[in-house]
Amino acid sequence: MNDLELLQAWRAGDAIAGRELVRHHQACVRRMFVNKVGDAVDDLVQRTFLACLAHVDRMTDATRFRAYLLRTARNELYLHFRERHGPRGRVDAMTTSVHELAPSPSRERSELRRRDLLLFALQTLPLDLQLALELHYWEALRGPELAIVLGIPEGTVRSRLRLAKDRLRTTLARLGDAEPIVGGDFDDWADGLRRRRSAVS
Amino acid sequence: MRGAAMISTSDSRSESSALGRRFAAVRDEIDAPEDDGWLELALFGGTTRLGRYELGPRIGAGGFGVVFAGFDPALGRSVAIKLLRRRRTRADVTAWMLREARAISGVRHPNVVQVFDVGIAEQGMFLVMELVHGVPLSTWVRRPHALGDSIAVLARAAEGLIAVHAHGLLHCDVKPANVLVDDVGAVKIVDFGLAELVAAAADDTQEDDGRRPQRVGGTSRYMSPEQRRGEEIDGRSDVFAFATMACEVLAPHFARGMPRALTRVLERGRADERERRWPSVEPLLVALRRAAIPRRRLGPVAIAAATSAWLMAASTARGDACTTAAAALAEANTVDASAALRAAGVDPAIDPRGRDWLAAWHTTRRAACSVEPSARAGIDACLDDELTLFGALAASFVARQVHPAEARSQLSELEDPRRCAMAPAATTVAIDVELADRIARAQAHLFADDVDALVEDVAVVGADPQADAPDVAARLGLWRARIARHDGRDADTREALEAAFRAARVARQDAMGHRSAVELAAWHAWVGGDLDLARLWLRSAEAIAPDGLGPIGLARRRRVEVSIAQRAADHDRCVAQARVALADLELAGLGATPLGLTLANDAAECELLSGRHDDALASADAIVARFESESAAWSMRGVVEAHLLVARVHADRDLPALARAALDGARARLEAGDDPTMLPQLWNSLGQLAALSGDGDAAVAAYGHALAALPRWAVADRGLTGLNLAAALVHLGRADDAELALARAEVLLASSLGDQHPWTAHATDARAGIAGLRDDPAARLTLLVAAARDFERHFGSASPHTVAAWADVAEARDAQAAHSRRSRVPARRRR
Repeated sequence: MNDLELLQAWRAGDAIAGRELVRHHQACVRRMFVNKVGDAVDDLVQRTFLACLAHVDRMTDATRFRAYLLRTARNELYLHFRERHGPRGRVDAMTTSVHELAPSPSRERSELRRRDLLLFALQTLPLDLQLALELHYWEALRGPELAIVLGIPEGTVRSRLRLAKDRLRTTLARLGDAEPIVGGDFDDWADGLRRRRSAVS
Repeated sequence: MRGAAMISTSDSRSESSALGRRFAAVRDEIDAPEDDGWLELALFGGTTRLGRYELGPRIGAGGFGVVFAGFDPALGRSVAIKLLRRRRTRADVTAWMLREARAISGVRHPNVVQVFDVGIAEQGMFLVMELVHGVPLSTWVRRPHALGDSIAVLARAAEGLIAVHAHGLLHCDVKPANVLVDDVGAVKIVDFGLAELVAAAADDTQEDDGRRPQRVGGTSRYMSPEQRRGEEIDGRSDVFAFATMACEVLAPHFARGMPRALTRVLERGRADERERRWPSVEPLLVALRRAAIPRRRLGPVAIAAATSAWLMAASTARGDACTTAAAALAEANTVDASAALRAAGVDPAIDPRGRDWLAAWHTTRRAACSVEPSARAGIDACLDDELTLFGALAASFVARQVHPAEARSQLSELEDPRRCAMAPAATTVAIDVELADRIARAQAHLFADDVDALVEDVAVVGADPQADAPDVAARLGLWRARIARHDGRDADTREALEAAFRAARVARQDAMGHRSAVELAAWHAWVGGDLDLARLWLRSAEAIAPDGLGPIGLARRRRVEVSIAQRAADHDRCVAQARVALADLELAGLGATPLGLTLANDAAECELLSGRHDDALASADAIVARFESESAAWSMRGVVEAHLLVARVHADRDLPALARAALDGARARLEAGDDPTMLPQLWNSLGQLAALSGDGDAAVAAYGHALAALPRWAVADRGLTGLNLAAALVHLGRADDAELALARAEVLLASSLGDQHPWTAHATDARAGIAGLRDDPAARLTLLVAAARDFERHFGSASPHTVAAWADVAEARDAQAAHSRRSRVPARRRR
């Protein structure tokens, strides 16, 4: 069964199919929320799957299931922010906080800091640019899929990614990031990855 | 073959991709621990059992765990099952929890959710309860209700609470989210005693004899002071929480402030010392009922009633062009509007702005009767649209009990209906009545800045086949921009505004074109950081400003000019422009509006930044004096801002006692209003004060709180707070942490404020501090000189910042001289 068939079976009451689907996709949905929402991750993952289940009829193309799923996750993410930050909502503690600055043993410091910097630099990007980069590199999403998740025309995916990389590069440089990032090779790398994936599938 | 070759090339390239490798490394880092079974339960609960109960779908979740719909096959009834999050729990604590939960299940009352059963399963402890179909009071209050309904709901909740207390139990967590109201107004309080159970489940480390774990402490704004401190509590803690909740439920009914009698009743419920509180819920309930006598409301209600009369007449006239309408409304408009309103049961003392607008609308309508019928369609459609918008605004005033000043401000954003006679072609696109009504409501939501409602409006209007019509598209663009700005999606905000501008030009809707251009200018000034582009957009806004542009529209454009001056650190210009804009608003009788207050605070802020401390104090005092007695959220925020400004002036002048007094004023207002949006600013000010009095740890903590309370998109504010944090860390001697904080702040500030803003001086100053900590006096001196020059450039040579910076330079020169003397001595000795 493909993913869409699993979802349909789950909708029809087949919990085994549902479990398989969730096991298969849980990690990437989780990653989508982890460095953005603090302690609401569990809840958002649940909400994402439940929303997918509710809207199974809107999905037509089984090969695009993951894109639909991640798009739903993005919608839930924005919904969450609106709930938290709405005029009547409460202010959320999702931004950098002082505990991240707690001193750490010096031998780990530089490595930790490098990782920390990339995550922080990502968080300074507008949310959709952050999502674009993370989905591109972590989930290896291709152009058409990214277009679905981000809700933009396919033709603008490349320029969106380029913009995101430029902003990330600038930010990392401003943060005093030590490792020089050679310009120009990301797209080749990403292209290679894409081709490899399509050759496999 | 070619494909294979390409793949291998790419592979070797991928090895060399630095960014790709880094992403891969971090991916492992952020991969969350595997789900511990919660997801399984929440998604597939239907196939699981808890004890004898069948689990259905999840219906809620919170800090305590998950709630499922469930079924009790033994008794054949539906139930709600609340599963507390599993923790490692000591046996004696578990025993206590079970006893407590059984006591809870002994309470039976129509206003208390019945607990049927408790048990322990592998996943944790669960409570089986009556299944209630209702919404939390926190949701219920968002809808408009009569005051009597709100009182009735509070009274029922109070009766439930009285029953809980009668069983010798406490609720410990009274809040609107824990009171459920169903469609017919039945009320049930839920989760009593649960707060203690959850705390017990979470914390089994304390020494205890198994009787009662430590009291629940916390930060909920409903908690009494003694409960927050974790002290022993009694029923008066629930009294405090109930009174706080009652304030929240009742406040929206009194736009001009609560009646004094009611305030006294609730204040006694919320007294800090419990001895001064109502001794229990009963007397509070009696006093509450007596004090909450409904007040008559005038202004907005009258406008709405008048409008609905107009609308009804207008809709009956739809078939027969304007002559019928003119006849139907003849009395109202040709004879005496006040008499007509009185006849309709409406007090004529309505807001003159609304009355003037209606009069102008009718004049235009009457004049249109003499126009050729073929040419009249456009005018009629335009007039209908305008009147529908007016009606939607008036309805929203009533529904939200809008503050009269705010209502005045929103009314003055309406376009002059006479424009319909002048440019009828602009709105000839006929849209159906239902959509027009929805559009009008959305526009009212935009004026009222209600983003949640706008999201729904956009979904409905955007999906309509007529959404492509240019004037609809223009409005959609403005709404989408507002939502995107709220979500912090900067690029989308700009795109939506540009789309709105283009569509408005096509539709010849100058008012919307003007507004889009003004907002684009604001975007470039605050987000894009390109002041030249901002000025260009302002100029284009000026060029297309419609003749009937109201004072609020004009003031909004001028506010962007003020922002640009502020961004360019041209403080004198900023003050001057804010004052001019404010004077015009005052002339139009709109000084006491949200925009007027914002401009007054802008002026005071720029006076402070330009070092004119006395002026800034005078301005802030004037704001406080004028708005102190107002109770609307925006006026409260403005007053808090003014208090904070006073605190900053005193802090700048090294007068901590006065600064502390101003902060206390701010805190008192904040606590009275319970408005979380100002918290970051308050924390920031507390941090500054702590830094001033030499308490570095307190300052670091306060800035940490401020950062945590700031939303993601408040980029500049996060940056400035980070800068403060870095300075505080320097004072504590934590060089590494300070450097990291500073680097982060610089990124945020460079992308939000650009490099022509005085933050650069403060950043250089902090960097000098770090160099000092790293024992590098030469670098420190260089950086201090750079900072002092920067301060001088922005604030002039006499400002306290500049003077202090040059004093630091002098001190650093001495230190460096001493340092080089020290380092030269051993060199000579070696020789």
